[in-house]
Amino acid sequence: MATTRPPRVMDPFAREFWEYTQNKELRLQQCSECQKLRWPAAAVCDKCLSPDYTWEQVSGKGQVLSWIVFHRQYFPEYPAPHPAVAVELAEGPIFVCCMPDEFQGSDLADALPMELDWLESEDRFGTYNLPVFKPAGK
Amino acid sequence: MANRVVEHDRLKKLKDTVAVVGVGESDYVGDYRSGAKGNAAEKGSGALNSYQLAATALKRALDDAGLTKDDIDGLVVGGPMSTERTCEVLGINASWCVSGDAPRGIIAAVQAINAGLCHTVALVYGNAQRSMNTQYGGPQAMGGDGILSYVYYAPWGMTSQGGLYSMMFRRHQLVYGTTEEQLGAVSVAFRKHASMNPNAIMKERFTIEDYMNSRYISEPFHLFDYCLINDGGVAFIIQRRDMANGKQIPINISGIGWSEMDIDSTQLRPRLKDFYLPAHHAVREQVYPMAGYGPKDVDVYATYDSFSTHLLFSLEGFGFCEPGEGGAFIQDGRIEIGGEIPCNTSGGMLSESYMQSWNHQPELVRQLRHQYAGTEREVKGAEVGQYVHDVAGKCLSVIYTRGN
Repeated sequence: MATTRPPRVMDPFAREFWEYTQNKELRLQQCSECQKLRWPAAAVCDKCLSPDYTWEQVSGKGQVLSWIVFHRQYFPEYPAPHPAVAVELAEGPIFVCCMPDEFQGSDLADALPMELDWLESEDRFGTYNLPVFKPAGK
Repeated sequence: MANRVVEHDRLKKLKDTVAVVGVGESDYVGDYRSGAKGNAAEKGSGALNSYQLAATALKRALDDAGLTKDDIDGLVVGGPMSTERTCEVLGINASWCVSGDAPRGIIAAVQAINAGLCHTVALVYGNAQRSMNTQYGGPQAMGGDGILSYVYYAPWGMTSQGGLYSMMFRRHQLVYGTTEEQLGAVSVAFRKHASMNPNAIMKERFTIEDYMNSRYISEPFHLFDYCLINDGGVAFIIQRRDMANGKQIPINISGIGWSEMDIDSTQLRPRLKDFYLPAHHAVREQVYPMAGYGPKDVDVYATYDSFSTHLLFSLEGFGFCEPGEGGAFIQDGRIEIGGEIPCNTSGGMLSESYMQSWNHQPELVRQLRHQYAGTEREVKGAEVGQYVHDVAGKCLSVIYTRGN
């Protein structure tokens, strides 16, 4: 059962990113010329301005860089307390997300290994799977 | 990364060519306490209008300068106002007019005046953000069209600007062991300063214990780490230095600098990995050599303070202390009036008024004019003032000095 969430920021490149989540694949654009991985999706490589890219699947492994816990509710879909975490992916980019509901801010620590998970989701653009991270092995 | 521009010879030619000759602000307290029984006005009341607030401030700045609106030939327009409507409402056909916040406006105006496009620039800002119920977090977060990270993580339930700065502070805690109790010194000091300022909205002093007991908004940030949301207007007049009429002691613009870190900004890399310090360092290399001063010479300091942490990071970035030492540095009254480096002496955006970089400028000017002489608010003998601006890695700075 898909959960309704605040809407995604959508553009042609984001649309390609989210298409891959239908199959629970976390893929980031990789520049075909200089190989830089970029996130979020964009028209060209910010390092060499090449418009050519492939969608590279990342390992789904990372570690905690920082986190916060919202004690004020900003979205009805996310009642407080609501943790948000910045995960440094094994491949380099930083991925900011929430965690599955059963995890709290108190479960996190600096450099804690994290792994990818998926939450069935829906917004005005349709149904999709939201990539999130949780403490590895939990 | 592109090479940072450091053109000392060219910058130095601009030193002291332009001065602030007039400042004005709206009545922050009266406008805020316009609700029933003197309470805060309801958000979204629609009671005030941004142009009205800007016009009030401009009239006061002109009176302060001994000028009339017909002396104004250039305009910088800040906040949600359009340049056309601002010029129309104020009745000014300008020779030069741009949009911008206070430091961007100052730097642009220094260039325009030196280029001969205009002589006397009014920098005006009005923002009825409380009356209009402007949102800085949630589904309609303001600024998301300019700074993508403010809105990009909405599907994951993270949008607030406070959340992003809180995450940056958590990283500082993890790397350096900085504590919430240390950070509390910022909002305690700014509130103390506000208690001396009749135009400050929040005047009631509080202690570190009060700070620690205040509720979390986005943990580790407490309520008091956040700025206010209120209506107001600010204006100041800057003029070619040799044209100043002498009504006020001209406050020279002696140093300017600008550097941004936007690469990988949405994924928060420069924020969480670098604390934006390389941008601060690049601005240091412009503003201090141009002015001929360094951090040790700064008598009064102001930083953009939508959140308390701005001060911590900017003091580290500009060399008042080393990276990681900010938490310890800001203790023991060092950042208070009477301390080593008085910071945000009006109470800043945390306690005086959330004027988004604008209210800091009149405060530095008045301190350098010695306008508070004989009061507890005075920074005695202040000759050099510095404003440091860092909003999501857009770092700018202005050094002001007292003219003769």
